Amino acid sequence: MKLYTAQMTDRKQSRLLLHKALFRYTGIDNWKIGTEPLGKPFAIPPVSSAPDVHFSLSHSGTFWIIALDDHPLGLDIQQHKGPCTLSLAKRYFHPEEIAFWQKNGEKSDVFYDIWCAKESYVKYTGEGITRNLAGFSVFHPPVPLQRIPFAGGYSVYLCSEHLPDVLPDIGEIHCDL
Amino acid sequence: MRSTHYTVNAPLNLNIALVSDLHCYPYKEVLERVGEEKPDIIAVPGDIMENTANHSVTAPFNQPGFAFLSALTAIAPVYYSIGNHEGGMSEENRTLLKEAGITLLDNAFLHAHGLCIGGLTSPLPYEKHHAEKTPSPNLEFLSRFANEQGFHLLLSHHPEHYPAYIRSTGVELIVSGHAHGGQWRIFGKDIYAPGQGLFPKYASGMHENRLIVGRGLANTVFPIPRLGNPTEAVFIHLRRGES
Repeated sequence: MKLYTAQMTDRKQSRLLLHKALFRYTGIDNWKIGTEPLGKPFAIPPVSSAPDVHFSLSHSGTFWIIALDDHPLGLDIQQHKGPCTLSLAKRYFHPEEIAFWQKNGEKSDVFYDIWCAKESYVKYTGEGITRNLAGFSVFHPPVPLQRIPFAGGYSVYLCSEHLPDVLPDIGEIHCDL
Repeated sequence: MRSTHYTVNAPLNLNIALVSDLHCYPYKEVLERVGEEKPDIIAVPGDIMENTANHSVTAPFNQPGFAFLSALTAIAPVYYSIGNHEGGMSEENRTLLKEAGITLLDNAFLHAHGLCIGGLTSPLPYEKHHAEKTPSPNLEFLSRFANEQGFHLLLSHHPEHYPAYIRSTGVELIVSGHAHGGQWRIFGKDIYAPGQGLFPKYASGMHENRLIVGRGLANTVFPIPRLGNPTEAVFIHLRRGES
């Protein structure tokens, strides 16, 4: 499993960064990107000898981040910015998560962490926000979750059945224009 | 599989391997890892087997745990306490454990290896092993154990017993199995550590330099055991400090 991050100034850079990451990870160029029925992108090997690669990417604020592995995974990054209200929690959080957030003083970093962890799971399944977010709890997740230490003011969570024992370092890639 | 090492100040030098909560997860790797470390003793604070009240240790769902404990005895003396999955251990099972060379400490203690080693039995009987709130353990035993001379090593399956009952005693070192209901409820309050997010790392699984929780999953969600959760082998090194 590998993780890469980049500073992203323009959303259009995302596709280019994805190709760079795939090349860094596999040494192979010219991947095609397909889309699952609910919108999750996946990598199509350009040659028959290319390995099966799974990826999940996310961006928030100025950061773009990707995780690549031999197994399916979900990744989400969330900048600590934007509303964190009780009405949002009631709508999208599981009762267990609401209770946890309230017991922790309804702090915004807790809210973003829960949100990000939830997102990482629905990105793993490929359902995204079509999934009933309140129907599962990150404290009893269907698939294991892992927090990834990252820059201040950001939450990053990874979802995988094959979480590594040791968190990989996060490499940097650049968009040269 | 992770290996985690802790050093604890003590009046003697001793190496302890801590293994818990196998729930019959494949144990070959754990055995190898423990063997490599060559500990002086092995502490097993419960939940190695599935149901020892109504079934023999040789029943299919218990047998891997029993075989694991038996194999461990070839590496070092094994001290075993009762977790909630073993609540109500039958007499025949006690005999079988003894014959296999495993020392079961069921609200009992002994003096060995320069330590006073005790096992605090889980108060949950097998049928109730998913109780919301863990009832209190045998406090009379705990008090008697704490009043014994010597450096105390207590095998206590439930880490949540530490803040409630054990912290106020003179017991120097407590080893526990995993926190049922999630680490975030371990001390009866939800703990959110900002730099560590939702699933805080408990100071590398060691708390207040006294409580070492086995299977500390450091920054990982605490899943139901059967979700293929990585096993952790913990090695505790008691070291005489400079006087």
